[in-house]
Amino acid sequence: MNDADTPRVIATEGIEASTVEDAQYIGKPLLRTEDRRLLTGKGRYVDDVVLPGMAWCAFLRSSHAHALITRIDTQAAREAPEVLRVITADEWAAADMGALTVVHPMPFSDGRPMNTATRPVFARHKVNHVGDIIAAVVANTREAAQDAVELIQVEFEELQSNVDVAKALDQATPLVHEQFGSNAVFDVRKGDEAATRAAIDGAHKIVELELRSNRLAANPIEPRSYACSYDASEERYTLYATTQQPHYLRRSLAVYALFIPEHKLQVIAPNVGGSFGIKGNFPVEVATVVWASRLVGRPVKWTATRSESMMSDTQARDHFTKARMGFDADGRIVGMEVDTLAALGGYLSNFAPSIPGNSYPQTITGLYRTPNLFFRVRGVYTNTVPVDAYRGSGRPEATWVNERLVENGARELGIDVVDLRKKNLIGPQDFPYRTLSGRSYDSGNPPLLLEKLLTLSGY
Amino acid sequence: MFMYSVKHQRASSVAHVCELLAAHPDARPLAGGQSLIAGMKLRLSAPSLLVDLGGLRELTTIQIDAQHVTLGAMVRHAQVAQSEAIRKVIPALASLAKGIGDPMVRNMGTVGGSVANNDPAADYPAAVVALDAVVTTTTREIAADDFFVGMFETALLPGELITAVKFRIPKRAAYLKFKNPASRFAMVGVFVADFGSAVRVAVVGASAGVFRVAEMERALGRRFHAASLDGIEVSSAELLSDLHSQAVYRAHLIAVLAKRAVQSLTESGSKP
Repeated sequence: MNDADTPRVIATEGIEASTVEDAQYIGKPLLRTEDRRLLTGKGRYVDDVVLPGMAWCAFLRSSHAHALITRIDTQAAREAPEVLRVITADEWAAADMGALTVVHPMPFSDGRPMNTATRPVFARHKVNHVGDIIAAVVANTREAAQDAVELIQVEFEELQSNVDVAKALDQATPLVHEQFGSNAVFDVRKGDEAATRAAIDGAHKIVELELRSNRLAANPIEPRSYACSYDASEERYTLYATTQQPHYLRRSLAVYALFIPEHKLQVIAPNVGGSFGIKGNFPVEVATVVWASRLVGRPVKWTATRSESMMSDTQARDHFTKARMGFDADGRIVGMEVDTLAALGGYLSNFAPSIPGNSYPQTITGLYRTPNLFFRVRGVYTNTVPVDAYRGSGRPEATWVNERLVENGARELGIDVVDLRKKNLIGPQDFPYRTLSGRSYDSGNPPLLLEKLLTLSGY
Repeated sequence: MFMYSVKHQRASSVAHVCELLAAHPDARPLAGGQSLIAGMKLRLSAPSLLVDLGGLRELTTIQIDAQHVTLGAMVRHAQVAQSEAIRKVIPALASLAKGIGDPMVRNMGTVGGSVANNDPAADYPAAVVALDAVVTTTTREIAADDFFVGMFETALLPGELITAVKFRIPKRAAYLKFKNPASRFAMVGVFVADFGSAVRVAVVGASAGVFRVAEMERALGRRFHAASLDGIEVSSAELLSDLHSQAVYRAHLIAVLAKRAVQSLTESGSKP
């Protein structure tokens, strides 16, 4: 800020709405420290990083959603011009390397741990989604690496695939991971089922909905990219990575995949060209790039093509929900019941289980007083790209369910949609407010916010 | 993605193109490259040689006489969109060109390339068929109705190059399309051309390739009015169902767009 004389107003607790309006930053354009650099084309992204003697990595990906790998023949690729190395699951396993990791697991409601199948660096014996990685080629040029990928011969035995979240737990649906005997990952329940059902069944008005929260791809403009060099004399890696969380990435790579001391890996995160969450997790290609830089003794880079982004960047949402809400004759909510199936993909990405299992139900009652709540969320495997955190991770899905129920309730009761919301909003006198979903709201004034919105929108 | 290794040669004349195409069976002529290059980058297409038509000035002319507008094969969409002369005689053709893709596509894409590629969602085939055009090649003239064979298939033989497309000037014509909001390709495009003696209605985007709707043509031939199309339904049996739309919806769009196209030509003060 060049206007150093202006006193800074910092929003703190207890601030009145009128004061916020006068605040220095809200609703005003701000010059950020990086603006000059980015707007004059001086930004530096990972794909701009060119290291001396850099080789390129390319991946062979599954074109099947679900198939057994019966044979891989890499000989022609290994013998192709410019090729330095071909890596498959066998080499990875022979070197005793690890896999990706899952944090914040969600259990079954009977106490069993969740059915965990982490995302492998290379698919072994079986592919579980389109884009699943089968092999990597490191070559002198990007084009040579890509050409050699096509020389790898893979024989598949195609399996029936399971892509519809709503049918994932049906008896006839093929299993993604047979060892679990089910496509269920976890089963979380919360609230008083009997009391909630009784409250809703006895309500003046019951609203029932089946909702799909569609799967989505974040698709940032800058594709993911990793460039790594290895200094053999120091046994030290320097990794340039498209990441929102360099420290987290360093730890994940060192501890779970490469089994190296953390201080032997430096992660540099230059400018990031959009992420929306998907550059926050520990992704699948980076471990290969880092390891390959040591194997070939040269820096190695991989940058996703747009097509690869669509089948390898973590995706999001993909819920199927049955929900009910009961209202009394005045339009007051008497109970809410939610049963959600959440697709987590062919494997579990880092934060995947906790997004529908924890974040989603925590906000399911939104800003409305809900005296009875019962919810059940089941995470399921499907033959789709793994999901992970994306903008709001779980909360937008919850708001969608809650607001659709409230909106339909108002319409079916013939009460104005604003009036019904006003009747149910948590008032300023109710704070701190403890929701039945487990969240405690410390402060707020939802009715005032709604008033403000109505004024601003001219409703 | 990255294309396979490919050779590139700039042609010095149409005869030179023919020589190169004859000598290299895997060669492809390169016009604006708006489909070919994208396909090559996705490794869906792997010609050994690109014969670049970019330097052939003789293919970039626009000729207009009393009955016809003749576009050289290398005339860019932007040229057609901006041509005052074309706007005067076939405004629908200029507006069709103006609605293709985005400015980059229009500045590079060519009429010959679009017609030869015959993408089922491309716009130009609708104009070629509805305006009863003749496609001139290095060896012959092909009537519009005989030119488009199927999805990405035309009557062109190996080594044969489009040199010009000759459109008949109608009494009035309009082209309307319902764009896919992401790609802006036509989910359905309808070109209606009234020649006084006959009416031609051509549809793109809806099926494997451009087709005419005979029942609409007969009805409009009797009376050129939107009401003439009342009750005419296009069967969805041969139409595309995909991620973007069901066949029945495309059938519905054809009827709606055809009516609106006719309305735009019959209601006073409105221009297509």
